[in-house]
Amino acid sequence: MIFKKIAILLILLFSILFVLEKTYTFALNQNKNIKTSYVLSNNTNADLLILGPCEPFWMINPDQLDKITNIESYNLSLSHSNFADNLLHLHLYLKNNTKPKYILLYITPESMDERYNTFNTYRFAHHLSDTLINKTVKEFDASYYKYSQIPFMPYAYYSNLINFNALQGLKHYFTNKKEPKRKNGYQPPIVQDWHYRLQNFVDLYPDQVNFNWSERREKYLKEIISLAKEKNIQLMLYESPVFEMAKPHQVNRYETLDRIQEIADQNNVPFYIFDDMEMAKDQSNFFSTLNTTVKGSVIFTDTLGHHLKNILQQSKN
Amino acid sequence: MKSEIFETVQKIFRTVFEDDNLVLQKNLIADDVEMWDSLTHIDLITSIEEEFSIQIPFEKVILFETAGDLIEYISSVTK
Amino acid sequence: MKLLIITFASLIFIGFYSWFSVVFILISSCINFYFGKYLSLNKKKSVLISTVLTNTFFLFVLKYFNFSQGLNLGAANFQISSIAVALGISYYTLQNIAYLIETYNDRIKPTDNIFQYICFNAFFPKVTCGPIESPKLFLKTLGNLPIASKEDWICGIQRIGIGLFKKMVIADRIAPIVSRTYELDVPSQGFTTWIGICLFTVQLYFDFSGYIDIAMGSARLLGIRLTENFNHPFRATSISDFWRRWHITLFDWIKLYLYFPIVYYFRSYKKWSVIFGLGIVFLLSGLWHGIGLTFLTWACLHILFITYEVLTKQKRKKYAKKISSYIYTPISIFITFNLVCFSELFFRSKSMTNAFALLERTFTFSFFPKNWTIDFWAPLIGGGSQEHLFNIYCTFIIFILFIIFEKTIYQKAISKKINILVWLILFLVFFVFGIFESGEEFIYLQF
Repeated sequence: MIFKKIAILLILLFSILFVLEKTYTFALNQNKNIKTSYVLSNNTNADLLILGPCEPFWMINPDQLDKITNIESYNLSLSHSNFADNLLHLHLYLKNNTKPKYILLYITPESMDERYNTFNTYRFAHHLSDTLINKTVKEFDASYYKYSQIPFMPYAYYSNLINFNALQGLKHYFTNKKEPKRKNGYQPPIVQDWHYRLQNFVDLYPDQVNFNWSERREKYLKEIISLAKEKNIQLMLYESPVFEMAKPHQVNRYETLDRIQEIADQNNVPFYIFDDMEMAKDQSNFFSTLNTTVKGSVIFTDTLGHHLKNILQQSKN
Repeated sequence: MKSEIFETVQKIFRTVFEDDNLVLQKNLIADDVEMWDSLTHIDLITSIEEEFSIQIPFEKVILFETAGDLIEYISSVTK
Repeated sequence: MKLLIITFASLIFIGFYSWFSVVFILISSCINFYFGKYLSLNKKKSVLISTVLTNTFFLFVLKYFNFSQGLNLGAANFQISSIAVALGISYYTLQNIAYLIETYNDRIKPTDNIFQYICFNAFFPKVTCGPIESPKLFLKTLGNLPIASKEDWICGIQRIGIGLFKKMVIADRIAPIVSRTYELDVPSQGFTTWIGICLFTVQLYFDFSGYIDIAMGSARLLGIRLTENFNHPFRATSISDFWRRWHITLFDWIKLYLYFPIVYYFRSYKKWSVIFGLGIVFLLSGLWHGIGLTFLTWACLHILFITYEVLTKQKRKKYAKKISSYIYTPISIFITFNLVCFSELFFRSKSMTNAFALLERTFTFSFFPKNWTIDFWAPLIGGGSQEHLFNIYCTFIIFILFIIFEKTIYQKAISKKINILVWLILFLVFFVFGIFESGEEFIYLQF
């Protein structure tokens, strides 16, 4: 009797979890606010893809950039993402959209250091059926991968980051929502005061920073480079201005930039370092060492736009 | 002898717990009496010790579960 | 034979934590085992006192040693996977002392079986965080190990399930809110900070009682019934009542071996002996939890509260009779809960400065939030997006429902019959809302 009850309970439980998992997968794919879901369901077909973590995500508005460059761009960046995270977004984008002509990838010494940015497993929970994604998740999040074999666990594991998105996805489905609020992928920064915990910009780099070069970061940077090469997309690396007063605290900044330059040169990838802009001296243009306020972003995007425009014209000639 | 002790103890109970109508029974416990708490319990024990000129050692006191146990003890030491 | 297996398994369990814990518990058990026998034959008070003091000495040395390694027992104490150098020492030391006193007073006969005694201390379900078992009852159980019945297995597994639920669905969801409040991370103030402060007590309850449930369930699987450690503490109508419902075995131990003897010794001073007894009790239990000004404050607050209650007990009873219990009881519960949370503020704070900073934050002119989303929910969860709000609403709904229906949940979930519906709901809530991984690194940086 007891065993029968336990069996019924377990069967019911696993059935519900199985159905719930399918529902979540469906719902998350319907959520237009999730970049991967959006690019997989819509044809963005941009000429230029902007890729990277918070800095490009909050800084480069395609609406402003495109007016200068006269080509269509889409901002595929997402906050807090490392190269692997970027790579997977690019991979998913290419699955459903015509390949862009150019990719603009943000890179700074922090990008090569495991302490900054990360691989956000929860973003790919509903794409685990894809081989590359499956492999990458396994590499970065072994314990998650282990549990993901149990029904619904891929979503349960990071439920706090997924539940709401699933609900929202269902809402988008039932209300027939086709596009996110921001179609071009850009999002202005929410907080623009110096991070409330930080009285001083140096708090971001306590006791000076020595960037630790990560082999894994290098590996994934090279993966992006080779994917671009394979698809015949012109990849460009760039670094937006760093707040001037922070630079002396980045102890091995130029050493790291040189190393990045080496990789760029080896692969014929241009690397544009916007190191000498006037705006970098003005604190009102920044709310952290690397992130610009809307005011600063507009200034930089303008410069970037003109720079790109020149390059595009040159390549035509 | 025992009934004398019984009477005396009942008087003490009535004084300590401020209840003239309290009827002492062998199986009376703290929960039965409204005013029986840690303070009045101390009062109770010290009043009994004074009245009977005895000193109840701690090891014996913690073994009392009912009023009956208390009375048994008193009779055993006042022989 | 079964006893040997359990004992051995317990030692291995402790071994996973550290070999030192195993060595120490063995030494401590053997020494106390021997002295138990000695004291039952030789009533030398000096020996009793010195053995008790030695046990206490080692307890404090090993806890203090912890401190010098830079660990703050204050804030971290509620993390039950103890950071103590010797796992479980706080608990089995008390059991050892109880055993010595009981054998000395001939209230129990010392055991002849050393393994029984080692198991008494090391029994794996309860070695990490109690309950503290009475030597008389537990040694008797160990001497006559019951055979686990089917009912034991069913109830045991269910109890473990509830414990896991409490820990992973409720305590872990509340934890980030509490740490955010106590780290003074977000500029919250007034009512918001106060709720954050109160949530620590809620978190502590679910965390601690969750672990206890797992302990009780595990023991039950072996057919062994341990002593209950909690009895719906949030339904306490006074501080005295609270201590009869929270960490019951610790306070029973303190009552039996500290409070009664002290109060009795000084009984000629009447009510002052009670107050003195209370003072000693709480000062020592403060020390038992950790060394620091914050624990001292916590202890003093409770001394104050209970002294007040003891001195005004009859007056309050008369007052309660005049008012309907429908009003009096909820108000008592409300006041008691807030007083407890106030004292727990000091318990949890890293330092007195931290505690006072929190109090300063709380008692500001604009106590109630102007805008509930911006001034209340957002600071607590660390963000005002719809997603953040959704998550914190869920957290609140779950734990409030659980507290309200706790008695029913226990009745239905831990019974000889498996209630399929209740467990289905619990499992689903567990999967959908449980915290499996602190994806906090993501949460904090999510915008």
